[in-house]
Amino acid sequence: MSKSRGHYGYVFVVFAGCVFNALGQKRSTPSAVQFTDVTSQVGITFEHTSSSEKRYILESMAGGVALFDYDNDGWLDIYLLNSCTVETAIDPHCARSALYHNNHDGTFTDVTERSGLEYPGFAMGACTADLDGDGSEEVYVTGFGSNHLYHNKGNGTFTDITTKAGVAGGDWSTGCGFADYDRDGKLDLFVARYVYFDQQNSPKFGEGKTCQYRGIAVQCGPRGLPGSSDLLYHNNGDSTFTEVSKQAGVSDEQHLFGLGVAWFDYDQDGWPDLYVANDTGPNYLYHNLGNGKFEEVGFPLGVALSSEGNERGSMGIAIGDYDASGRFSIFVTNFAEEYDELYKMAADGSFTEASYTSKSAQSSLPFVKWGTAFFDFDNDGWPDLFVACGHVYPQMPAQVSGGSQPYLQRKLLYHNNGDGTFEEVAAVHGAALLVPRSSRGAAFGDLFNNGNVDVVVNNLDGNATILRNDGGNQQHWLAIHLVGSGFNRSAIGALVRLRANGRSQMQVVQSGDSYLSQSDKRLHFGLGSAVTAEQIQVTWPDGQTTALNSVRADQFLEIKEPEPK
Amino acid sequence: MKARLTDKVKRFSGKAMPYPRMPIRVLIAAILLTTLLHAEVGPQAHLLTARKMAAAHQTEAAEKELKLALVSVDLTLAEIAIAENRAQDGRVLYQEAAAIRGNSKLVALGLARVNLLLNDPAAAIVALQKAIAIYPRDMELHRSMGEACAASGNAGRALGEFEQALRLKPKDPQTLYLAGTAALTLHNLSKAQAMYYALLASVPGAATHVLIGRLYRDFGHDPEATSQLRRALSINPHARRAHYYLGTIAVIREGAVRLEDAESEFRQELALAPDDYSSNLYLGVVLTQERRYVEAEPFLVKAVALEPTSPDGLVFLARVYFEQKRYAQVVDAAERAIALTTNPASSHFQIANTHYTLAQAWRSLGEKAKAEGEFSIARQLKEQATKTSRDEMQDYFRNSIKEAQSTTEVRLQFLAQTADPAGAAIDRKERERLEDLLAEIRFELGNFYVHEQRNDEAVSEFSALFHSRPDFPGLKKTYGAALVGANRTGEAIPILKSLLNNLPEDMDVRRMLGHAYFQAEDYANVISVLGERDWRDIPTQYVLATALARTGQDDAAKDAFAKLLWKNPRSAELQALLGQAAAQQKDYAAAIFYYKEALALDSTVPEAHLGIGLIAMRNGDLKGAEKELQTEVRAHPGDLRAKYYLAYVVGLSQRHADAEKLLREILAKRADFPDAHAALGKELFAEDKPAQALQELLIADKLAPSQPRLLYQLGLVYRKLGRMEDAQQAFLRYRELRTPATPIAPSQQSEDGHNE
Repeated sequence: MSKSRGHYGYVFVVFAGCVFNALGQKRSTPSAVQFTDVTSQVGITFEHTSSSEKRYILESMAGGVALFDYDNDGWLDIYLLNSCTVETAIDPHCARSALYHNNHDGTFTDVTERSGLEYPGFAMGACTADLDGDGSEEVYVTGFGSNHLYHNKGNGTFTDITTKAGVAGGDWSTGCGFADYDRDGKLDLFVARYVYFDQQNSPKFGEGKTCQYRGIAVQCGPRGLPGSSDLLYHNNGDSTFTEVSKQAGVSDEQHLFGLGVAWFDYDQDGWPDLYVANDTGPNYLYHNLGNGKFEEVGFPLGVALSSEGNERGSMGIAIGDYDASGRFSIFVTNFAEEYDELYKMAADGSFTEASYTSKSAQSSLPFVKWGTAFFDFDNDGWPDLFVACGHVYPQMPAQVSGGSQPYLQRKLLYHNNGDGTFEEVAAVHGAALLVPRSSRGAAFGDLFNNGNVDVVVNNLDGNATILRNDGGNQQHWLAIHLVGSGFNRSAIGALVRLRANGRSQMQVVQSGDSYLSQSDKRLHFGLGSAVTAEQIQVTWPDGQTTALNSVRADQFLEIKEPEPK
Repeated sequence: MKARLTDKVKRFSGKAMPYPRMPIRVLIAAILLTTLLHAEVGPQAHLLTARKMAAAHQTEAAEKELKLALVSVDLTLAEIAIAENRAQDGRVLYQEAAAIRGNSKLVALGLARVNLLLNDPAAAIVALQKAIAIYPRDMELHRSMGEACAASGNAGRALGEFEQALRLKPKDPQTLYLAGTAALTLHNLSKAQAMYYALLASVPGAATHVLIGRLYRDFGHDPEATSQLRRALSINPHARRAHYYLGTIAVIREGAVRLEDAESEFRQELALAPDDYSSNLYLGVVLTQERRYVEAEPFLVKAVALEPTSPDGLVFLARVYFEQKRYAQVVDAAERAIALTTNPASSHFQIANTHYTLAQAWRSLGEKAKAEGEFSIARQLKEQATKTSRDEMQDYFRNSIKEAQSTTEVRLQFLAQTADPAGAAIDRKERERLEDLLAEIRFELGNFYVHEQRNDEAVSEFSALFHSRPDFPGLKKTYGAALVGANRTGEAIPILKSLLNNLPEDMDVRRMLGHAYFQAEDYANVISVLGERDWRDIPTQYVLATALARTGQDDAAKDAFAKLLWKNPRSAELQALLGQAAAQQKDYAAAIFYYKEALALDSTVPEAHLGIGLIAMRNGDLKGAEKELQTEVRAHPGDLRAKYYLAYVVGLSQRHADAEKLLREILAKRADFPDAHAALGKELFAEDKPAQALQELLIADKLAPSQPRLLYQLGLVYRKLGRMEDAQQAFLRYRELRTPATPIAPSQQSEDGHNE
């Protein structure tokens, strides 16, 4: 584990603060932090297969990625999900997903074949959690036709227990996430579903209003296609689940086109709430009523639509306390010509749109945006934002057309200025960020255990992108690995408040985030110049708290939940 | 029971102008002269000619002149009505003109045009097809047909018609413009360009470029539109609407990202016309979309002031206020916008977002309950949305920016551009003069029909006149007479009663009212109106005598009948009346005796043959009945009831097609004849045309509800059509009406005393 580079690095950072980025914007962040594409270097050869023409919407929406330590060796492994074409969908081996074992030396090895995770079908995304409390994380893979729950046997292999568990889902599932919504100690599962896709009866490519984009013939949908309901599975505690969507009030009776999923306790009442990003429909915020039911409050709380009242093509979700307010804000990635929404939570529990006031909106307009997260890439103590981009229509012209970027698009990296605003700085943080791809899912985690949060991006039509963060650890950091008790060993839902440099930060352990992806569950905090964290407080899912004071920076700290008294 | 009155009774009622006969050669000469003079003759002249013809007993020529006068005034008043945005009135006038002069090109063009204005292209096409068949080489007709085809969605045919029009009159600017539009509709850009090129050669100028540019824009040809609009501005930097259209192109095509172009254009348009509503509105909208709320506000405020009944500006103003945290003003603007939205279905995007903005404002003001209510509405509206907000926004721009819905309106706009504005003014006095003239013509025509015993047509004319000029001098009397003559006593009585109240000494009115009451079987009122007076005419004496009998005043009735007979021993009409009375008493032998006596005195006496025919029918002698009824109809072609009975008999003889033909002739003259509809329904059913039969029976039922036989027939037809529930209902109603406890009302029995 390397430490920050100390004084000289810091001077360099100050000097570099005056440099203008490629977009002509004055930047104030250290350009010493660079993202480098190390995909081939680290041995990731995965290539996402999908139809190049994307004549069906089914072929445009996949691309999840999961970062999790499947073998409990303390190093993040990578699971890249693959999908098929409509023509090959019927073949259960139409697409090979890939599990890469972290070799601890900066390289990865493909261990898919042995793992049993090779062919989860027409895969979309994944979320992970330790469901049985044995310390090894299970993987739930969403897909078209059927989902799969893989039990981690603890020996590097997985067993498909979908049928027994009763969580096959069906139709077209997209985002997923585990959380103990009823606080019975067992992790439950929410699955968003998108479109009811019937190839035989789908509208034809390019025909009709919903199959045109700026006069160009494109795939149809999602508007004009029937939507699907969402699913909530209650964990029965015996490796089986019961579907309780309707009773719980989260079944999405409107059949909107569900994509991103994020569990988090927005009102910090101890009960996990749920946010669902719906494509071209109002997003849902389900408030957990604490009795097994939810109340959808997206409209009254101001997180369903834009402030003008427009629904967006919402894809991915990031949850974070970007302004050190002690409250979580919601960041949602949207379609082209729609700025990403930043919903800032007010003291009264409602949200106001801060997209433009935060200055994150304007630059996002031309892109179609997917995987995202709040993460402190430069460890200055302020959560930044990353957005993976890529259009859905390969038919887009090669040049900028109207308000949209072309099919292949670069990444967006927003540096948090610490004053409630962001600055888009991808141009000065690595040429790799500017390589245009058709990106989808993005997962965030310290792959190399060096205090830098790296990014793994799954791209359609080609290989994935492993973006190694070089230089982020020039400032201090602290990564907290929570170990829960009982069945929830992953400590999903646990809230960590950290105070350093006179300021508080807050993060939550999530299963399922970004766009159809799973990021590192170790909570990474940037501490800036602070060499210690003055205080760390953990609120466990069952309400217990753990407090630590004066914790040394620059380490991976494991905090175990005390056993219930 | 409706007692039958003789035509003589009707003839004695409301006599107006005499129309005696003339030798045929004089008549033909008069007609030819009239025809030759027609093109140069106005309505006043036709009216004067009609009077001359009438004085010369040339009835056909007189009628023709009256109709020409009517058509002439109709056409002019129709155009005035259209110009005054009373297209419906215009259509009625044109339809009347078409009924008289269906072959007239002017009428066809006018009727087509007004139907297009009323969004009824199918009717326009029908009118034009007839005219084109007569005038195949008329450019205007083909052009008008092209417009009608375009309006009905048949752009291919429209273009064909326009091209035909151009062959007949090349370079006609209107046709070129319309042909170009049709070509664009067919996605034939090159043809459109050729048309517009020719148009520009014909009508050069910035305004033409602007109009063409607008069309290109509407059809999505942005480069061509931009080129035309820029060209317009190069010719005339102050060309109106050019900048505005350029701005709208930017708004519609470029989405939310590139609105600077739109802004610039709208600003330039406003520099030329600061009070242009659309430019103010859309500049405000564009600036709002750009989040430049402070700048947007004055334009939106102005737009709202310019169009206070439109919600559009208020929708965006609410947004502007919200972003500036002026929540009280948000509430005001949003609530006004919502109140002004009369068609939420077509303003879905606006109304849903306005509710959402209002909800947010209430929340910011701490009004939680109100906020929740508005959020709930916004949510419901969003759930109902079938398009994304982006698409709705695009549609909103596209639809609200679109100024003209039809090519006719476009052409009218183009005409407005190229026409002499001085000629467009309508003289109010002239209109009033024409309306007076129309009234006069209708009155005269109505009187003509009364004299000719064509009471249904007379009623039609008087009715139209009564609708607009109820106090036209002499109208009520003659209208009342026509109504009585047409057996429409229900309508006649109130008119005549009101007239008698004002003119209690008018014996003609009294007589007519008495006869009307008699037809309505209101014998008490017959006596009150006619009694205590000495009537000279036989029908009235008869009516009074019968009324006395019917009201049980037997002695007085006897005296009256005795006096009648003594005074009129050789009156054919009286014999016929006596025949009817005998028939009503079921003394058919006596009836036949009297009828034959009547015919011996006057072989053309009305209803004698009818009476004999009905008795023959009753006796099962269908051939004899038909012969008599044929004779009656030949002698009195205007007697629709006689014709009805003829049809009835023909139907009984199983000649259903012939019966159908007769009944349709009756209904063509008098559409509100319930028995004829019912009989036609029966014949159609017999001809195995149940669907058509049903239509007729339903009309009959509507005109005269709860007729048992009709209900029975309806039941049969429903059953044939497989509509068992309806059949059951009909049969149930029939049985209810036929139960002994509820005997059939007299009005449901036939007029001759036979139960039908």
